[in-house]
Amino acid sequence: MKSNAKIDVEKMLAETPAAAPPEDLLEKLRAEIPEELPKPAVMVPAPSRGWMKVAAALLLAGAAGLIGYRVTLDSERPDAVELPPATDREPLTKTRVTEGGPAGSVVREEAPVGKEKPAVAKQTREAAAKAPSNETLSPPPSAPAKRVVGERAAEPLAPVTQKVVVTGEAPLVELDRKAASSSVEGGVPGGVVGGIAGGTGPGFTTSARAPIAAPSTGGTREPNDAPYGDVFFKEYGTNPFVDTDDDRLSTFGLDVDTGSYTVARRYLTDGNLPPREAIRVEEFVNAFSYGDRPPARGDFAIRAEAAPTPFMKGDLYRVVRFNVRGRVVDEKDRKPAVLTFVVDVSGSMRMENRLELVKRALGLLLDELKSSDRVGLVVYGSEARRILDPTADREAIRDAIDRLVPEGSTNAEQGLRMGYEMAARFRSRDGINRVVLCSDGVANVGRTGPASILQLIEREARENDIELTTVGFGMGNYNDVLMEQLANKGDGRYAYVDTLEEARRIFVEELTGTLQTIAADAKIQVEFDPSVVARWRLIGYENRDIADERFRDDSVDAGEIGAGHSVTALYEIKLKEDASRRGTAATVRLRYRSKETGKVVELEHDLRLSDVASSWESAPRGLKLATLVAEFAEVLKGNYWAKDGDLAEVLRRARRLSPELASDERSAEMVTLVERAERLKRSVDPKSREEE
Amino acid sequence: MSTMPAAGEVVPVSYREGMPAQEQERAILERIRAGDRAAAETLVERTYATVFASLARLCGGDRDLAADLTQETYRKAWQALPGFDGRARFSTWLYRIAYNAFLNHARRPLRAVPFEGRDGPLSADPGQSAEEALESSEVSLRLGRAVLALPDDLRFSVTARFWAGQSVADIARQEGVSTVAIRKRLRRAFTTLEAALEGVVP
Repeated sequence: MKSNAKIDVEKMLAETPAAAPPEDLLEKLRAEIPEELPKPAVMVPAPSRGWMKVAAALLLAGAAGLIGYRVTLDSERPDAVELPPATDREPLTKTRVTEGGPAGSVVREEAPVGKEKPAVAKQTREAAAKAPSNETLSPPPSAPAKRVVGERAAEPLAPVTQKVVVTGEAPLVELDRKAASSSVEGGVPGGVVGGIAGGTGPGFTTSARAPIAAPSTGGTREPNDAPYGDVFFKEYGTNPFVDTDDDRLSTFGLDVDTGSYTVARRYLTDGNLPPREAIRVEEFVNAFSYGDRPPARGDFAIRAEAAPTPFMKGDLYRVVRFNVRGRVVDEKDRKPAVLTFVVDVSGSMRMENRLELVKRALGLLLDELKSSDRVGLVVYGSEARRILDPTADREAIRDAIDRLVPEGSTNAEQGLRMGYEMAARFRSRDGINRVVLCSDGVANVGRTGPASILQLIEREARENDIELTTVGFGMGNYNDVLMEQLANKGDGRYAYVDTLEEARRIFVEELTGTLQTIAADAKIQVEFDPSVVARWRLIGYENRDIADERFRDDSVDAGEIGAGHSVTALYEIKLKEDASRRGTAATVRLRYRSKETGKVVELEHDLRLSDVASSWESAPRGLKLATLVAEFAEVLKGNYWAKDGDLAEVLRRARRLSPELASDERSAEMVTLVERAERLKRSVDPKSREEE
Repeated sequence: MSTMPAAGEVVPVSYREGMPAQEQERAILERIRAGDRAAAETLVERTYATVFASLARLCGGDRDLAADLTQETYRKAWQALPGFDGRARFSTWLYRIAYNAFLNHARRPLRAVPFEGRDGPLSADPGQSAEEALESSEVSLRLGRAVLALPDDLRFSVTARFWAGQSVADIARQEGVSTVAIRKRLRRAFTTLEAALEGVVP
């Protein structure tokens, strides 16, 4: 090749010399062929069993779009925001009542700014107004189903109720995590931990009204211990076990966010245990793929499966997995999309090469878009700037992205405003309209605080059908809470990107398949048969609660589900001793409005006792993986129900399972993460950790 | 592969025999399924050189490390085999496992930009034969280093395609994306690599 000739990289790559293997390698490899040869499922193009599809709930709502989807509860109603948290109403909200030990203490919080919070508030209010006596809403706090399995639990304590209020006004105050948790041992500390440098606008106030957990005076949590400065998380509590006789219905909105998993991964990879507040169990569970197949026809496939759980002692406990998998929309049938990227180019994006990661992530996305899709770009540093009106010209887009450099301070509000203006102006009537915010969530300049940004987003979602996806980047200075709240309000999904690989997962695998929303206002209701199931506990989804009686209220703003999306919900249940071994243990219902026909549809699927695996070993692979992932998350979170949980045990089982999952990158990665977490946890004095 | 392998090169599995590679793989897997140990050995023999060679390049020429990772790859692959779903070819699937093993080893991989700024991963290796050493010219060093510095998705695509000899269609199936996306990635990788080689190529 001569200098002027075009360098033929392809040829050079193809001709790269290959190193010959060492002579003894083949012998070693032969020796490692297992005694008992594995049985590949050769001819079958798809894995086999275990895949369940769904039922549970998920609603992904909002964003079916780009990245995601999420479930929006009625929480998004503005009026809900105004409702002051009311202690006396607490018993009406079923989620909050827990039994069991300190751990059993239930935490609930209401945050006008937070997404779930309002939901809870509103729901509570309505429940009070409408059905004060509805039993399903109020499991008697005093009928604690004690964990029969005494293994993990200590003596039951009186339920402790804790409230956390987040408002958009006062200066940032944080709950002192240490104080909170040590007094609520085993309980779930509520509160906002960490602060935002510079303040996110007006900031958040946290106040705890439990006997425990006095708010601290703010500042950054344990600056000396915190691996990253100013990381902002929020605790949402843990669901209790509920007696089926008291309440046989479990109703909630689905959530397909996965940000919590990636954030935790980032911590672990850097050699730190993630803070408890950073763990949202359902986001861990939904970060993995369980091989559930999309429906052959119809909008959704629902799957239900169960097996004995190794993490609950006692013969009667089962872990149940419901999965809802949305139909796949062929790329060529997808509606054209107008995507407006709002990219944070403030100084903080220079840290850790964040902006570079954003640029590469966007590059990945461009690869996958159709020629009819248009992309616009707004950036904000000290001020917002319109870089590119939505266009289909890929080169122009790529150039614009390439030229981004970090600058100035952060005026997130102006950036989002401008992004929404652009999206509204170039709105496609029949297409998909989405704003994608790429930021570390740090917002330090702007007239108004998060409250006004949230209102704006909410209005746009409602009136103009513009959805929002937030993608978080960076760790030091990272604001998990703001990013998640924004996505919640904006009918969108929140994801966190720590690596380009993650960006690929989000922007390529999930985003493109799911730009198109297939179902709106989707809710899940699981009904347990009291003659079979003694008690149940929903794992995760703490802030997606919907009042049982509102399941068929189609005005409830619930989740949107994107094409191809899969949502899993796990329950732990305890069977009745004398229960028959036939019949149905639970029925899951999925209710949603079809985007295509506009009609409300309700699907139903039974979990039959005959479908319950007789042992953990014989359980379907997806169920095993989901159970391990959930246990991992619960132990990291220090949940009461996983109080005696042991990462070493999770690790052993994950290793045993991992073989079957080695080609799935994320599952393979999980083993590594559990290992790290286990080592880190061991290295921390177990006692001090416990007290923490 | 776009070019036939030159003599003396390690031949990618797909070129070994007359029968279409995919069918051969399938036949071998069927025999393994039936408990045929010899088939298992055949599978290893046919695939390990490519796996090793790919890992050696990923490891910047560290042959000991590559040998360790090759062993690890097969350990994992045997365990994972029951879950192999035939979505992509076996060898593509195997390369994914090898690549994951490498990522797990490198483990900076969870970082945003794993390889950038890493100095000279491609130092000449004392274990190389004289002939190989000759070929490790400045250009191929630069090229190898540039490949390692690619963003992860591009790097996987490029190495799977050229170092492990997998087809674009199989890579796309394995990764669950469209072939168009893989082609675009390869093109973008070429652009980056060309820029990296600018001025070095005589």
